[in-house]
Amino acid sequence: MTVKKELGIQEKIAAVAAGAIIISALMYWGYQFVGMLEFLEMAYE
Amino acid sequence: MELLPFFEWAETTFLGYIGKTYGGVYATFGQSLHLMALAVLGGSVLVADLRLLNVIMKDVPSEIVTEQAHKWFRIALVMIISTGIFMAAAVAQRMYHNDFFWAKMSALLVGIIFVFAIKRPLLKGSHADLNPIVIKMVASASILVWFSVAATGRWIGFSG
Repeated sequence: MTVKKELGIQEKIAAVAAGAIIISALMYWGYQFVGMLEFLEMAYE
Repeated sequence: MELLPFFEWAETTFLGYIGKTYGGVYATFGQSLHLMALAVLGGSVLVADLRLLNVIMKDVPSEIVTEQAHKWFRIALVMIISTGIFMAAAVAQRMYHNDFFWAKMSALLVGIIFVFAIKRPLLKGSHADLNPIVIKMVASASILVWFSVAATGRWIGFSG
């Protein structure tokens, strides 16, 4: 029998904060990466 | 709140004067110590978070690894902030107008709050009692936020 463990309040807060940081960081660096690609494309032309 | 007067004042302080006038002092006490501290901080973050992700040191309990790494993290953070203030004071007005400086400060603030308000309290007890997915999310977020601090910090030197 498997016992499904519920997340504690501290774990929930940590999960939300970590998720927000991961999404924000990926969006920020994705945006910078797209900018870099556009720059390289312009420089190549 | 207008912060420019604060940055203008910072350049006129003793730290700003020393950093601006003596390039050698700026390079040795500022940049080299700052980069060494960044290396220690990055090392402690990677060791702790890669252990939490079950990538390295699997034979050592993660509680011990994170506890030991955190001691070095604190030392490196104090060094980074003190040398960072010295370096920024010398070029304060240029920093004020640099987007990456503000990106770095934001990432640093988020990183400090995340470590001391969320990561540390969560990992204080036994890690076996915690949900493994949450542990991995926290470790990934920690790597990403400190990578952002380091990368935007280096970017300051190549922009504006």
